[in-house]
Amino acid sequence: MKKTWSLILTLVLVLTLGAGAACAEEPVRKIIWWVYGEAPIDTRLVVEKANAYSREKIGVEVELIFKTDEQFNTDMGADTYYDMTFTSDWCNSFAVNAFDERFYDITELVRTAAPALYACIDQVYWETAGSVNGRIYAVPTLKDMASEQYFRFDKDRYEAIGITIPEEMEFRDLEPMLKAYREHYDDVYPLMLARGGLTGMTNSCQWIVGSYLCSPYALAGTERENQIIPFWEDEELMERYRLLHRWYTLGYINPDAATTETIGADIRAGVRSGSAWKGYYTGYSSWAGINVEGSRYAGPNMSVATMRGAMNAINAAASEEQAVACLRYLELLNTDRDFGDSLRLGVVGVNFNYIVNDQGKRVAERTEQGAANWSMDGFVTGSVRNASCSSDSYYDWDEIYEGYKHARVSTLGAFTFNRADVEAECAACGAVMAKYTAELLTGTMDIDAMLPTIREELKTAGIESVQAEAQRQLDEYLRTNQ
Amino acid sequence: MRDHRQNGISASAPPRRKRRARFSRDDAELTLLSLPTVLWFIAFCYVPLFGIVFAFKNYKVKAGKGFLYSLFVHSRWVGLKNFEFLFRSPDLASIIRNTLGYNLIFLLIGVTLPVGLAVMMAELRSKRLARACQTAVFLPYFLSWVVISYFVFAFLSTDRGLLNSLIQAFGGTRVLWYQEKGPWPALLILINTWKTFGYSMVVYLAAITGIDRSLYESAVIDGATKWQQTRWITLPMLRSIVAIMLILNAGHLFSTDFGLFYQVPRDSSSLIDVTQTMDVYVYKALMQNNNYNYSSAVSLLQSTAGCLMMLGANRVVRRIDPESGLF
Repeated sequence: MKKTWSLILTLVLVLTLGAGAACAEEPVRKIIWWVYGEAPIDTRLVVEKANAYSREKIGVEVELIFKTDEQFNTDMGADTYYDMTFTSDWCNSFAVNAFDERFYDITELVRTAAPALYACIDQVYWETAGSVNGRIYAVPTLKDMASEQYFRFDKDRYEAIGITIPEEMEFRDLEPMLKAYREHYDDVYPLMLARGGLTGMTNSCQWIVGSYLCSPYALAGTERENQIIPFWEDEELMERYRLLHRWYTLGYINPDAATTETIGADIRAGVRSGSAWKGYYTGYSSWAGINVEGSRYAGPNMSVATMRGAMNAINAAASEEQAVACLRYLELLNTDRDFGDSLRLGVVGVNFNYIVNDQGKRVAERTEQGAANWSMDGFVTGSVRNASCSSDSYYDWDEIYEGYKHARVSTLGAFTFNRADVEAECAACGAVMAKYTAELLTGTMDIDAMLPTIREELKTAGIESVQAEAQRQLDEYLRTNQ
Repeated sequence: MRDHRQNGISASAPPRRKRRARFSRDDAELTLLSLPTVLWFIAFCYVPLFGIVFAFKNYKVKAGKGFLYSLFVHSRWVGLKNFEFLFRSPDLASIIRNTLGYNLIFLLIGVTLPVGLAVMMAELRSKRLARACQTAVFLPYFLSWVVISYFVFAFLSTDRGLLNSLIQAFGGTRVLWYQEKGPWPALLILINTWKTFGYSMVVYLAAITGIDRSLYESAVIDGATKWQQTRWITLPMLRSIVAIMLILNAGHLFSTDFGLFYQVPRDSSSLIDVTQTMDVYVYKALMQNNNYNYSSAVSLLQSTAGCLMMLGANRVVRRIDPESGLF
């Protein structure tokens, strides 16, 4: 009997120690993740729920810290610790940080630590968006990867005056629609603009340096491809600036546009604009509170800049264990739709509910609490492609990605300009453009009248040196990568 | 011998050994009292001085090594290269003209208007009215520039502004105020004066209150008019405080109130010729580039020029009136 008891106790002891050892091997890792935007009210609620899920699945939990553009710059500059951060072409510059080696080189690690993540993102995005000098420093977020610009119309009001919204249109085709709106409705300007102008209007080219040196998509396949040129040589862009000014003088645009910060959702503008994709602007918009219809006027245009619209990078100072935890977390986000939804849409039953739409697809319908307390850009918390569509609009990502095969693609590949040798000139040219940007984007300024002044000022600031340096770097890149 | 006379000790008294001053209880209390201020100055004025290094470095972060390592070890020295950025600006002449021009006008108005009003206010018989006036002119000082920018917008908005409504009511054509640079120098001066003169006025009013009343009583007995009392008693007695304010303000000649020149004109590009000062230019350039080196270089330049201006102003004041200098 004694022997039996001894045997049982020994067995229990061994099992307990064994289980303990197993636990010790897999401690829960906490990662600090900086994401873009203002923290929504339900952050704690949503993150606690998501952490419970990810702890169980992969033994990783996050501390989600929301940051604005300025906060990213300040905190990166002060070397504040984080494990993983949002980075892109337009906020928390991927190029600058990667060149300065502030991001973890995940070229090998991502293949071994998160093979499913590596597999679910196309090779082209790893090589173009996430890489600098042939090394991978960031995980691209699968969202709209090309630039497609849409006008978003007030469907009910336009239909009421007998105008049908076309699926596609040219930028210049907007004028008769603005005119018609002006003639029938006098409570609001047809094209209400804030100082940022029409979102994405300048995406007729790939911007190489600031908003003054570019490579137009229209030149791809012509003799002038692979040339970096000043913005006034992009005819498509210049035509848009001219049209905007014409609409401004015709009274279609609010006169104080250049000094207006935002146009709130409460203003029922006839036309708004945005970077979107097929199916995005369709039906009732809970944000605007009206029925909307989108019409594409540009795109799809594709370049390294459009692919770098949203990414996540790991701190170069993070330990390998933390880096692995970050990659596994992103892997879970990219491969587990329920988990992706839990961060993007919140807690089921509280912030949103799954419903079946008219097409028989499972979509997410936000609750009132969800719309008010957990609402942010879709790309903030990882892959949009993997997440459920909202009940506002249904779209098929496979179809959208298929459409990218017909996109106008930049011939510059993964080229990224390194401004280190002409930093003072870039800063001075940036300051010149900062003076005119709001007025250009809102049509307040007559570009033809002001262009000689702008050119002269940019010349004084050193645009020629910047252009020469950018062209030199591009030529070198093309030589080594062809 | 001279020392003895100064100390009131007769020459015949035996020489006393110089006694070492003892730290009295009063000294301890005063030291304790000044401690928070001293600590504040050390923490916020002297410790951050090391940031001057930024102006001569190409600051690069070394991930995980911390700010100090990144600044002092990892970042390389670049000499005066960071100052190049400012001198590359095609607007340098207008930036300097605006910065110095507005400040000189503010300096002039900042002395004459508050002193004049303080003198008038001191003559008010009704204390209740005096207090009401003081509060009314002091109140704008506490408003932020953002709030003021919205007040101004309420007047100048093209569509809904009060001014344009009035103009249109009288049959005129509305004015695009934020695109017409003509009125803005006067507007900015007016707005700045409205916001700040109350504060200076209270300082001068306090100084006037401190003037010995017997001087005025003697003057009244001698038949002096109000103007003569002001001319020969009030203004001379205010000379020192005016000089101090003047010298202190001279130190800010190269710095401008960012809120006034950026928020109030709503960063309108059309107005840039008359609103772009050094601080506005640096802010806008750095919003684009996020470069600490350039901002430090410009700040150092502004501070050095300001310090030299202050020393110069002090020297001029001392030459005119040796007792009115600050140091």
